[in-house]
Amino acid sequence: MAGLKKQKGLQASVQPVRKKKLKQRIYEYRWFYLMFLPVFLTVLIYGYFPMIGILYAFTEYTPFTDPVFIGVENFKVLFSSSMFWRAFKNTLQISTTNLVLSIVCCVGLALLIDEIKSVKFRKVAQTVIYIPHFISWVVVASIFTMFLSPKNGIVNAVIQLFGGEPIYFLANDKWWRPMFYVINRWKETGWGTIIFIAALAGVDQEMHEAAKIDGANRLQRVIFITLPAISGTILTVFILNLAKVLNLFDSVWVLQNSMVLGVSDVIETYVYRMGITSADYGMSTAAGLFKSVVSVLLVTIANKISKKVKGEGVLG
Amino acid sequence: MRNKKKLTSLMLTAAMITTMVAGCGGNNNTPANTTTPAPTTTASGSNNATTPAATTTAASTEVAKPDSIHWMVHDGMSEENGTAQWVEEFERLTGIDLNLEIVSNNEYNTILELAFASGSVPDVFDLNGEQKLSVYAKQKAIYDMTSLIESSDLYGKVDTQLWEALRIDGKLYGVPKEVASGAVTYIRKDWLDRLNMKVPTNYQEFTDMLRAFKDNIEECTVPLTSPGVFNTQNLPEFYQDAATDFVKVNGEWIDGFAQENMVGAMTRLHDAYAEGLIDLEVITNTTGVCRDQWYGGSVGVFNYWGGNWGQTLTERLQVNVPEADVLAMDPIEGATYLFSVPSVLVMSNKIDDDRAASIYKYFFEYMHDGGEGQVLFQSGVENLHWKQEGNNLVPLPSLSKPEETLRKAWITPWMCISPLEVTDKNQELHPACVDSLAVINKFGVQKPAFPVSDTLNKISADLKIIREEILAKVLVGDMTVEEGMAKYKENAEMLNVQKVVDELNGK
Repeated sequence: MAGLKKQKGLQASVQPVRKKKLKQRIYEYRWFYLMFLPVFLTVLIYGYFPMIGILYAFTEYTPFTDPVFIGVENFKVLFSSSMFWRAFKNTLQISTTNLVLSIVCCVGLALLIDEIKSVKFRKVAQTVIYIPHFISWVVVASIFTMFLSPKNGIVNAVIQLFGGEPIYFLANDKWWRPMFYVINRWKETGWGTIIFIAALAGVDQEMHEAAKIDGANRLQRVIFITLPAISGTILTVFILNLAKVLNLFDSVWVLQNSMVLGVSDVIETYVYRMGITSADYGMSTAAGLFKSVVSVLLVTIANKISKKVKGEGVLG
Repeated sequence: MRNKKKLTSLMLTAAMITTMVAGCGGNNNTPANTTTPAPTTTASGSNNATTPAATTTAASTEVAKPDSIHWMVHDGMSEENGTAQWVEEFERLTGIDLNLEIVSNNEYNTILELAFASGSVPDVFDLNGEQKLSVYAKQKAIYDMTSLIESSDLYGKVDTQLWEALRIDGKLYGVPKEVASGAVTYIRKDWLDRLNMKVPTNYQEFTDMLRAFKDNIEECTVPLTSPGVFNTQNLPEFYQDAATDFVKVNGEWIDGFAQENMVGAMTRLHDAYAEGLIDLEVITNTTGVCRDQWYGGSVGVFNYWGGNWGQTLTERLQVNVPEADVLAMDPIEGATYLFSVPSVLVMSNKIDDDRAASIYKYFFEYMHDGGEGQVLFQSGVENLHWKQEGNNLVPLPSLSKPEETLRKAWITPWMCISPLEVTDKNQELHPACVDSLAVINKFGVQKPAFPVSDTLNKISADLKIIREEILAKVLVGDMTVEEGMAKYKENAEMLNVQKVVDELNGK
């Protein structure tokens, strides 16, 4: 009996502290909440508030008139347009290829930079490869239009030197996409290496030492130690990039022309034409909304695959 | 100490919130890239009794003078050439604060539409008379100026045909800044002389000339250049009577691209391109690239604007090739030089009748007053942009390019819609300018303004893309002319182009 009493007393003593009410907790941490307020308002005003504009997708809306609700009419017209589906197909193809190339090139270049022994040379190399990222797309397009010119471009000069015929790269259905990928990689690969170089700095050097002793060569160490060590970073970058993979405008807009629309017209250029050239903001918003939904789906699927394969996802 | 921390936290938070939402407020009528008007104006300027502007001032008892005017511009004088000084002079002479918003020419339509969407519309802006004017009029986005114009002195001073060309459903929505521009074909006369050839008069002679340039002129790398192939105005020798857009024939609107004469035009373009007579990079060319090639002395033929540009093309070419001679040629047999529809200055429909009347009187009429105002809008500020020499107005070196003179502020002097009434502002024009103007004035044909079509508004972007794509593919030989026409007809049916034609014809 005495034992039972003692046990009850113990139970009473280990009873969990009752959770404070929300109001009390907020008051207690009021200064933290106050500090958090600007961030919260920023996200609310600039992140969520503009989403009200999605409603325009269900209206007939031009800059000069008030929007008129028309239900899903814009989507019906959109989905019946062969131009839209062509743009959608092109977007997926160009984006996916660009994404894969981006990861491969950025990781590859990061690995090469990581192998540079001289700190000074490494810093110079890093600075040099970051520079193209800061050049505007308009300038990049002008530079490559000159390089690839069939009349007096350096690339065609080399082709002709070896007896070949000049190629109008930027106005050729077969060549436009390869050139687009090359130009994209030239501009963005250096910048994309930053995060991987940071990840490589965290790879355990003792593993490398041990592998060296076991007789592993440089390539084997990269394949069996370095890449698995940064695979989490690669996955994170891949999923984050996947979220914005359909955002293709500047690079396509400045490089496309009437000869290559069949392979270069993407959703964003289509949206621009509908919204700005035709001033049909309702239709343009509908196309943009559709693109966003596809992006969300892509990210969700990638995250699920990541969870299954690696046991962890980026989005939780 | 704890209170100090709280106070600091509060102040920091308040500062962050204020900074964050600062962009949400502000006056819609004063965009960031607006030239700030001078804070004060002097009254003396409006008392100049010797100029026609004084009439305007005297009439101010009937129509109140506006305190300020917001004008959005995208062409004319650049900031480097002294827009700030020009605004100061305008304010000094009129006593009106001018909010001059200068936007990029390439982005003008986008910025203007966004201004409408966001409710920050300027009082005065200009619209392309060919297509945009009717769209804005139909949407009731611009002020109906019919009664203002017809009851003003300006109406009688301007050619009636110009007013009639701009009427939409009988109404006038704006005043053209200047008369329409037309494009003429410029050729390298010195090359013709070297080859002992005459100026071509028909298509055969024209292509013979291009062939001779290509084969016999060493420095000629591009016999003929053009910014793209879609605009018939830039390639009149190849298009001749064909049109890539909707066109009015015998009083009826038709789809130019679907007509039989398009077959001939596409065949001529394809053959000339295949032979290397047209710039190999014509599809990706911009006007800037074409001009630079011309200035560099490697181009034989280039179709471009007459007048001002005739002088520029000659002068800049001669900087690189001093012995070069440029000729604005008469159109060959069957070809037509086209005047574009003039750009029209309009007022936003957001302003009330009283303000519209005052802006019309003190801005629109002032810029065409035949005296002080017109000189200011045509030639700029005295002793900064021009100087008086006897009875002549002599343009001064441009502020941005001292090797050239500033030929116009906002209105090209020789293209004004009503002539100057003052007799001491005569200008001597460069022969290249006079020659090209003479050609376009003699042979130019006025393009008509498009009536309103709701269907065209919806499909215009897709339709243009399809037409450009087909033309480009036929040009380079990826598609035969027959395949191109068949593809166009199929797409036109899908986009319901016939409905557009019906709407344009008022059916």
